[in-house]
Formats: sequence, structure tokens, C-alpha cells
Amino acid sequence: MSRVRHLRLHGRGGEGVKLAAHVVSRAAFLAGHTVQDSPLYGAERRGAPVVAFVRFGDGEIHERGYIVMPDAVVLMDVSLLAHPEAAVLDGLDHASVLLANSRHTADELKRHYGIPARVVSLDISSIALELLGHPLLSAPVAGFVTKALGIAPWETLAEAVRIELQAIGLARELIEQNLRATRRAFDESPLVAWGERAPSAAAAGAAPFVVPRLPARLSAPSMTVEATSALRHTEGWRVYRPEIERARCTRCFLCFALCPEGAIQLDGESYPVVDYEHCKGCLVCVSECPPKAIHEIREETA
Amino acid sequence: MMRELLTGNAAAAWGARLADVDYVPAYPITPQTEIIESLAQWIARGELAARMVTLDSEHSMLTAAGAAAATGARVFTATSSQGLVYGFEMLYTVAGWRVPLVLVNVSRALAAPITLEPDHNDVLAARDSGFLQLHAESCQEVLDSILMAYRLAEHADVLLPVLVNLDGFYLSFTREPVELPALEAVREFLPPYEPAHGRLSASHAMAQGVAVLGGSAYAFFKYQMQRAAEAALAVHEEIAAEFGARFGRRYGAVDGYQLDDAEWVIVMSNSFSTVGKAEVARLRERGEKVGLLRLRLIRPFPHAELARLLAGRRAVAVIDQNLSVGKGGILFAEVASALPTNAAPPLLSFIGGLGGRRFRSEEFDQILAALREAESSGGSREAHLLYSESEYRQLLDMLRIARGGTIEV
Amino acid sequence: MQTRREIYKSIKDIPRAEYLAGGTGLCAGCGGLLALRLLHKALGPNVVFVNAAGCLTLLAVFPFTPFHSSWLYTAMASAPAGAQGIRDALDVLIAKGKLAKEEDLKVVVVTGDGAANGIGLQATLGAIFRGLDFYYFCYDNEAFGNTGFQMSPASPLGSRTATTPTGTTTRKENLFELWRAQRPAFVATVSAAYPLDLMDKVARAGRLHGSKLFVSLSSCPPGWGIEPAESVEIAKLAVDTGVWPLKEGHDGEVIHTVVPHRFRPVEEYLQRQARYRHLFEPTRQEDILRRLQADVDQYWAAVRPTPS
Repeated sequence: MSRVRHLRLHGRGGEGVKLAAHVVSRAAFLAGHTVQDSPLYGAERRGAPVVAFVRFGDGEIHERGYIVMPDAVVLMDVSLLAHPEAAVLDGLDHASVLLANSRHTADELKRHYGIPARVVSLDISSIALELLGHPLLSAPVAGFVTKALGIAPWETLAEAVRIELQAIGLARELIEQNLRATRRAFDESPLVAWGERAPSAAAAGAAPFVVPRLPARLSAPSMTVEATSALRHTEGWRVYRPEIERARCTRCFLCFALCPEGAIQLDGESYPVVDYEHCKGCLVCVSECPPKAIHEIREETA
Repeated sequence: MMRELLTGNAAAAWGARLADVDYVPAYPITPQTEIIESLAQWIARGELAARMVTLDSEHSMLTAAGAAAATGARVFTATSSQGLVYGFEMLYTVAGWRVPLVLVNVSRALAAPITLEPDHNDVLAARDSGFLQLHAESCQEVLDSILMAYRLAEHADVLLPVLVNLDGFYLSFTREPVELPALEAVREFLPPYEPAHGRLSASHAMAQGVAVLGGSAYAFFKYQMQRAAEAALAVHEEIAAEFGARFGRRYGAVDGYQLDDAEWVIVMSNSFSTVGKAEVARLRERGEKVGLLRLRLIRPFPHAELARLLAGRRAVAVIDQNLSVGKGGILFAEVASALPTNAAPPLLSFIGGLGGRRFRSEEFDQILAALREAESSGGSREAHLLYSESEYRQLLDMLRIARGGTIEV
Repeated sequence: MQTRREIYKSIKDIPRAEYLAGGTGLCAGCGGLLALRLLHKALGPNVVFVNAAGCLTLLAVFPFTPFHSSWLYTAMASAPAGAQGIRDALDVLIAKGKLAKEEDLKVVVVTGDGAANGIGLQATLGAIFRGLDFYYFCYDNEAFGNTGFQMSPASPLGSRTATTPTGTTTRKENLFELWRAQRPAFVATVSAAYPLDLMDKVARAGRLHGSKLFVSLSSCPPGWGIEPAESVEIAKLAVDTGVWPLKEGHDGEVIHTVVPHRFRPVEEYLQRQARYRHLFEPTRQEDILRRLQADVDQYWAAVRPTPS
């Protein structure tokens, strides 16, 4: 049975997880491997967790679907570590690798989150912001991953970037910019060896579970508790946070009125206060504030 | 209690009236229209305190029906055939909301070719949707089934909508004697609706029918519907027993005719079962030990009871008044899957009554002969269409008219 | 120039109570969400939203809802029919004494342009025809947004969508006029960039019995190719260039409630959005640009704005 390598990429919608997977997969394909790639997401939506899978090997790939035991996890947005339902660490063990887009060191991440795998990190977001002006992560992440894991040489990767970015209709100028960012990430990426994963032992003798019948009134997708979405925090969506300079604020109420999330409320003196747990960092308030009293501050990750 | 001469449609309307429904969203379609016309008359005369609204299509009608049920009203609606399948999406949706209501389908064969007479492809298309299904043989059974259907749908262990089927023309426009139970007696059997789940009001905010993401959540809710439908078998039994005790008519998941000592069994459903029963009686007079089993509860499907009743028979024929193109008779496949693979009698599949085509008496002789043959040679999966040579020749004549020239066959 | 507002005259009149909680999965800077938030403030409590498939369907995903109000997701084509069912049920239950009058709810259909135009027209026109007492709020981002921004009947001429990559060649369906032809109690176009105009229309409409329909041009950062931070600014440009007239219709009359003093060139609005980039690069498509400006000019030439 030929060896298959399993990559699982995590990020948020809008960060280019699917495109990153496509570039890595294309690079492996151009390098002569058999590949299979697929994304998993809900409705087209920015901010929600997105997963993509890349399998590559030298023979046929008799696998499909969710990668439960990844050889490597690529974490494009470390804020997902705070959301257990994103399951970014599932299936990792000491033989696997976590490649993180972060300005924190691998050691800091590993210790802080108790990550069982070997960790390497690179601040892709800063590379993208510097060379592309926006946090367009896909191509530089692919540069990081391809170099770190030795998936393909630079020329092959560069061709993969061109093919995949052309396929989504990017202009030549932007593709060249992306290639520069990819090269930077490629050059700065540390190297890490693939591990040898032991197949997991199936739980022997486990009886199949039979789902019990719940009372019919509880068996529908309905909610009788109000406003449960408040339990979900969207601070992880932000690249920049809005900070209100009270001294300049004229209490015109525009930011309060125009926040799509209703995340700006008025305090006892009618000054606007940001609810950072539910601010997504859209920065409409920054744009609309007439005296420019709201500043955009780069968010510290993880 | 009154004894009246009623069509199946009128009996259905009486079912809704005696159930004291709150809301009737409507859309006309042959052969259902007399149901909503009767209800409209009664409402206009103040004899039924319900609101009826004609919607813009059956899809809208079923949406309004489910939404009103989700608000907490007792809802009745009716359709047929093209209308049922026009609103098909909403059958799955409303069932998934876990709200009770009764939908009467007056069966009519599906286009194309477009026609008006009955068969069961329309109602059986809905069998996966989550709606429970009761199929009636007589006008009396139509009324009774509607009353029982509300008890079933609204039961705390069920909370699934119910489809009650009656054949177009042969029940819908056919008059038979029907006992109308007194309103007070019905109210004791079927009290006013108290929602266990779906309600909407200012002090009771609810989000219903929301999206789920992730296979686990979807699988869970879908499976709970299955468990509720399974529970409905016992609930139906209880309700039918109570109905029998109160009103003197006892219904089961199936209806057996001369079944006890039958060696050869014919399985049918709906109003043409009456024809089947008459043929069974005729064959019995010749000394043939034939019996008829009428399927009444289609969803949930009564696997265990069917297996018990068909065990030990010499051979069994299923007559489907429907056709799943590329597979055969729908109920044949469902019956076959209910029987144990190592101890089932030989099974035969016949298709009859498509588009309301009437049975010929000799066809039942042919079926019996085939059953005899099957006992020794084993059953057959192949669906045999009941059709005569003379019909075929007439069809060829019509083809010649339609297409001109000679038809080489 | 702006028509005199009756209820929401100043931004300080905007109530502070929030009726939608945060934590939803909608895009940062979603113009539809902002409009819905403002609409709900104007409506107050005791609302049931009836939804058809679209971006805002993802507001309520089990077990999370942002609403203190009620919500029922129906199907793409039939939210107004769902509204009919709820309205009728509430009326019947109240009439029969099974529900107290104070338990009544305002019934509000929420759909995108995809479900409002085309597929949803049958149910909507049916509801208006029946005189249904309900609100209809359409957030129009000019495409089928939730499925990845494919062309809808509301996609404007020349705009790029996933299924019209070189630009749409059909004209935007006129939903306001389609609705208005049925003579509903109230119909209006609104914009979240003009919150007081939006809220005043909703509040004044609330005095009327019958069908009250609103369509809000809603900025869509991923679909239109703008930054989330520009969401309100672009929406304002749509109004200030005359592309999105703010008006209301009732009693057979149409009144324009916000008329720019000086119309900015339509190009200023188009140039800011990546979905119109092909009209400027690699070469300017003069024909289409001229036509788009001419369409706007023609519209306003035919309109006689009411004096303030």
C-alpha cells in the first residue's frame, strides 16, 4: 500500500483556506504525486470556521472525506484554538506537525495550548499585510507549507500559484504580488520532517450505540431560549479592533447607529462603548466617525 | 349521531368540521374541490368557526398550513396529485418542524400523461417525507381516519403531520352511508388542541425550523422523526382501540378479509380493495381459500404485523395501484422487505388500476393461477401489468388515429 | 433635500434597545444586517420573522439565535405564505379566546433579493392580493449572495456575478413597482446609510393595516468587492449618485423622501466596487458606462421631487 500524506487546513471563511489547499495540492500534483483535495464549509460566509483537506501520495488514494488523523495541520487563524467546535487539534499526536500562522513562537503556542504535535510557526499575516496590503493568506501559506514539509521545489510551487490564482480570475499584477509574498514565506519557512503515524487501535468490543427517543417536543430544531447567539464571541474575526478616543468623541451617535452588529452601545453619559466580544472588526465605525475619533489598532493574535 | 349519504369528499369535510379545526388554507384541484367548497359554505353560515384562505399555490398552501400549526392552531388542508407534488418540498419541511396537522390527499394519477382518475403514485411519493399515512377504503373510514389522525398527530410521543388518502372518483365522488358522530362525543375523543411544541406568541418567543450545520445535528433530528414514527404504531393502536370503544368501529394498521384460514393472500390498498374483496368472496364460493389483506397504515409501516399475518401462507400477491418506473410496485417492495428472508411465502407483484383503470374479474382468476404456480416455482420480482388484449387492440387503434398511417407491431 | 420625517427626526431618536444579539455568523460589515437591526428598533418587540433561503437564514443556526423575537424558516419561495399562516393562526386563536390579545405578534417576512424576485413573487403578490397584514423586508445585495453571489433578477446591468463573469446584460427587476402595482398599504425603498429615513418609514407604515413592503439596497463586502469598512459609505454613494432612489408609495402616490441636492456621477459609485472593475479595466467600456448614467438621468428626469 503506497503512503498517503494527510494535510488538514483550518481557517475562517474569507481567509482563503480553500485556495491555500488548492495551491499546495496543485504543487504536489505538478511534482508528480496523486492528489485529492476538498473543502468543507457551510454557506458562503466570512468568519465561520472552514476546513480543507489535501491528500497526496504515489499510488491510488483509497480515502475520502474528513481527515481524522492528519500528518500535518495547517492553522491559518490561531484564534480558532479558542473554539473547541473548530476541532483544529483533533487527531494530532507527537508524530504529527502543526504549522501555524502566528507572530508567537512555536514554543509559546505549544505550551499555551498544550498542543500534542510538533509545532512550527511563521507570521504569514504580517508578510501578507506588508507585501499585499491585505491579509490575503492563501499563497504565502502555501509557500510556508510546501517548503516546511518539502512537498515541492520553488519552481513547481510558483507554477502552482500561477495556475490556481489565474483559475479564480486574479489579475496578473496581483498574481505577481502574491508570488513575492509566497517567495518570502518559502524562504523564511523552517523545515520540519514528516512523522510516522501509527495506525490507531480500533476500540475493540465496543457495542454500537442506539440513539434513544427523546420526547417529541424536544426533537425539533427549535429554540425557546432567546438570543443564545450572544454566547458566541466573534473577537477572533478581527485583524484590527476599533478604539474610541473619548476625548475626541462628540457623542454624535453615528457609530452606535451604524454598527451592523449592534456592538457599540451608549453608556450612562451617552459615550459609545465597544462590546469587543461581539465586534467583528468591520471598521464601519472608523470610516463613519466624523471627527475621526475611532482608531484602528492591529489585533494581537492568540 | 346521524346517518347520512355522503361522498368521500363530504366525509372528509365532515372530519375537519367535527375536529373543530381552526384554519384551512386551500387551493382547488380536481378531485378535491368539494372538500374546500363544503368547508367554505359551513364557515360562511357560521357552522364552523375556522378561517379559510385560498393561497396562491399548493406550495404556499402547505407552507401556510405548517406555519399556522407552528403558531399553535389546529390545521386542515387538502390537495391531490399535481398539487401534492407541487408542494412536495414543504412536506419534508413541515414534518421536520414537528408540528401536527392533517392533510387529505384525494388520489389522482400523476402527469404525464395528465389525467383525472386515481392511482397512488401521488400519495406514495410522500412516503419518505415524515408525514404519517392512513389510506381509506370507504367514505366512513375517511371521516373516522381524520378524527384519529388529529389524535395521532398531536400526541406527545408523535408530533408529526398525517396524510389521509382517499381515492379520487371512487371515493371522492361516490356516495355511501356514513355515520356522523355527535360533536360532543367527538370532543370527548378529540379535545381542543394544546400545542406541546410549536407555539408563537409575544410571551413565548421561539425560533423554529432553524438551520443546522454539521451532519451530527441533522442526523439526530431526522432520526428522532423515525423514532416518533415507530412510536406511532403503538399510539395508533391505542387511539384506534379508544375510537372503537366510543364509536363502535375498530380499525387496525391493516384490514383482513377472509384472512384467517387463507392459503392464498392478495394484498391491496384503498378503495379498489372493495373490488378485491368481492373477487375473494367469489373465489371462496368456488372453494378457493383466498383472503385479502388491505394495507391501511402506510407510515409507519407495520412490518411486524405484516410478517405475522403473511407467515405460513402458500403464496402472496401484492397488487400495486402505482408504479415506480424502473423498479416496479412500491408496496410490493415494502411488503417484501417486511418478511423474513428465510421464511417468507413466495411473493408475486401485480400492477393494476393505474390511472383508475378498472380491474377485470378474470384477472383475479389469473392471479390465483399464478399464485399456485409460484408455490412450487418460487415467487417473482417481475411486476406484471394487469391488462387485456382487447384493451391493447383498442390502444393501437387510437395510436393509428393519433399518428396516422400504419403502426407496425 | 429630505421629506419631513414624523417620528425619527434626529439620530438621538433612535432607541437604544437592541433586538438582535451579536455572535451571528454573518459577514463583517453586512449591509443587510445593519438594515435589519434598524428595522427591528423601529418595530419594537413582539415580532415573528418569517424567513426564506438567503444570507440571513444563517442568523439562526441551531442552537444559536440572535433574536429576542420569534423566527420561522420556511422555504425559498414561500415565506409570505408562511406569514399568511402565522397571521391567520394568531387571528383565529385570538378570536376564539385561545390567545390573549396582548400575545399578538407583528409578522415580518425577511428575504434577500433572490427570494423576493422571481421565485418568491408568486407568494408575495398573493399575500398583497389577499391584503395580508404583514411587513416584508427585502435586503437586496443584487445577487444570490448565500450561494456565492450568482446573478439574481435583482443584479443590475453591467455588474459581475459568479454566473455573469463579464457583466450582467439584463436590467434589474423593478421590485418596488411589481409590489406597488398590487396596491399594498405601503411600499418603500430604504437604505441603512440613511437610518432615520428607514426607521421613519417603518414607523409610519406601522400605523397602517395591510401589506407593508420594504426593499433595502444592502452593501455586500464579499459580493460587491469592497472592504467591510466601506459598507455604509458605498450604500450612501448609491443614493447620492441617484442609483438607488429612496421613495415610498401608498394611496397610489410615490414620494421621493431623500433627493440629493447635487447628483454625483454614477461612475463614482461603480469605481469603488470590484464587481464593476471590468467596466474600467483593462479598458473603459464607454457604452455601458454611458448607459448606466443615462438610465439614472432618465429616471430622475421623470420624477418630480416633492418639496420639503
